[in-house]
Amino acid sequence: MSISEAFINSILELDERRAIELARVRISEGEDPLKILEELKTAAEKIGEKYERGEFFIADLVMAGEIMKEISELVRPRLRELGKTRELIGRLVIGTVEGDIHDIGKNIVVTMAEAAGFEVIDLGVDVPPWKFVEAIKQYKPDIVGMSCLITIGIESMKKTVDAIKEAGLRDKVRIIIGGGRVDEYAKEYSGADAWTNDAATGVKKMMEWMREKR
Amino acid sequence: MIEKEKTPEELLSERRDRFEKALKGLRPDRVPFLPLFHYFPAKYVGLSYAEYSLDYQKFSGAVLRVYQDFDFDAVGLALPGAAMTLPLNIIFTKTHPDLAVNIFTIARAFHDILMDKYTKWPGRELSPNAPAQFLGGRFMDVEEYDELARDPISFIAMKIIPRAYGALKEPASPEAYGALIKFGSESSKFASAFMDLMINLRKLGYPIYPIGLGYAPLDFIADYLRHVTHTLTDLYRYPSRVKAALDSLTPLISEWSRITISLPPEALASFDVKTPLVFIPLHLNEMLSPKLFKEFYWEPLKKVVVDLINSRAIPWIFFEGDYTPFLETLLELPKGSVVAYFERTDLRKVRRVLGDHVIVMGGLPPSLYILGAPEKVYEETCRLLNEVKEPGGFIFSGSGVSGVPDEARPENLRAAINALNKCGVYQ
Repeated sequence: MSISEAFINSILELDERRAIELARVRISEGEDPLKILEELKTAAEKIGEKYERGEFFIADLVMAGEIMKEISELVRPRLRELGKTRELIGRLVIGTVEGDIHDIGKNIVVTMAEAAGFEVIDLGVDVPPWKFVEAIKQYKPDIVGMSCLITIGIESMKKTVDAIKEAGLRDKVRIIIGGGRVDEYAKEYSGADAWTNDAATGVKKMMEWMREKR
Repeated sequence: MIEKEKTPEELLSERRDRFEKALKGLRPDRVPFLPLFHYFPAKYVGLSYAEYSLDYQKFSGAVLRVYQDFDFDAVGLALPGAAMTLPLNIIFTKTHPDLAVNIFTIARAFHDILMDKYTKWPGRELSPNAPAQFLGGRFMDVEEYDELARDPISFIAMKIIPRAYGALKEPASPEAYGALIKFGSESSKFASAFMDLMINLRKLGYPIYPIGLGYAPLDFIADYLRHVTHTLTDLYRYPSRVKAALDSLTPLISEWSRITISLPPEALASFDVKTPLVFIPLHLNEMLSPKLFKEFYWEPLKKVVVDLINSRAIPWIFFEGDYTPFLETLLELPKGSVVAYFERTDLRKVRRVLGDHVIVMGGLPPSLYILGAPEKVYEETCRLLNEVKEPGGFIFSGSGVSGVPDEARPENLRAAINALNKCGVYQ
């Protein structure tokens, strides 16, 4: 098994100690940090697949996300030393919509999307429509992610999509909604492009969108 | 509707019979509707969520109006906010059981008095029409698991409570003493308003039953001590610490839960249905892998549930999210011993896996009530009932998590009730 394979496997096995150890060894041996980050992307994709197959659960996503976050933090100083920057696959503006303050699901998406190579602008919770609009103007994201746990969020998602339309920005972004109680009805009603009940499938969908865009 | 012509006494007896039969796993005349409410009554009568959370009279009035205008079969939970006092309840298990049972202290006044960091409320931290929400938080470090395991009551009383309740942050201060006295007097005001509401609902012909509360031990750690996210990673990083804490919390939570249903015989006699239902809302259940689930979640929860069954209560377990991967665990419980209330688990699958092993409770996705047309709600309700009401022991809940969603269109609730009267009938 190559060190890359061993590294990716250790993440998929949620073996935190080994994954970090391998990342440390590779950095100290002078390996290109960009290659390590590229492998995080592969790991993120495989995690999505495992989740879809029912082999991974939310706890596994949280733990995998933690490991990938630690590895990114390890790699970052080395990247700076070399004057390199990671090639981003896309830019995501995300937030929990107005009226809702739940953020566990959204935070999993943020961690996984960052590992997958997205630049993520996290607007936090209880985000009113105008804040999403302002963020789209300021950051020009490829994708807008809206999260909610409780049903008040469905109406807020519609209001947010409407505000994005009114600002003439709807064709500039793809919109995905996520959370425990969103579904096809909520997607149709809000005018989003996709919906998901879980972070892994959501991140996979966003990666597909970015591939289509290229 | 024909039902309206019956006297409240007739309705009460008819509904009690229907509900009791369903609880026994039998086939009543038709499937009963046991609704749960959060803010639907506020929206229905045009109250702001803030008023509904604050003013007990307005809250009670709104709930009564809903029970007057729609036909249900039993009094379900109707709560004007989010729970925040569980650590306070649990510490009284050994010394003041009468205080440990004070389970329905769910209104904004309690938040205002205790200044808890678990919840946020309309008109306080949130806009006047956003629902109260439970956030939890991290009130304990990893290093403290051992202390929790050694003596949970002392640890919660001395470490967690001062951290989680702003008003109690300095326990020996005038602020803290004052907050506790106010909390006590407010609790009796709320309890008396709640009691009046029950009496008035009963006058409308709705049967009442004793209700208690239970909790999954790992959920207690996640919701009230460590925060969900940290608890999940603790399971990988510090499994033996979590395990030791669960081992000492589980008997305590079980004991506390049984206190919530220990009623003197004369109190029990005043209820229409005599068997207590113990509501146990699950949180982490769908988040764990089967291996973690079994060891850290199910085994401690099963202990609490079995102890309740042995105390002649019916655990009424709410399975948040999708419980499909773990359905078989319910076969480990005695047949007909629990009401299993599902949110997103496909009820058809539930019947295929569990048959009539549990009393099944559930309904339709909330989005259908909020966004669907009444015809669609009617059609979907009928379809569901035709597929899952047999072989009996089925209770209709409206929808998942909060029963009747806050934003449900009233005409959709009516359509579901009409469908129940047609397709919920047992031939």
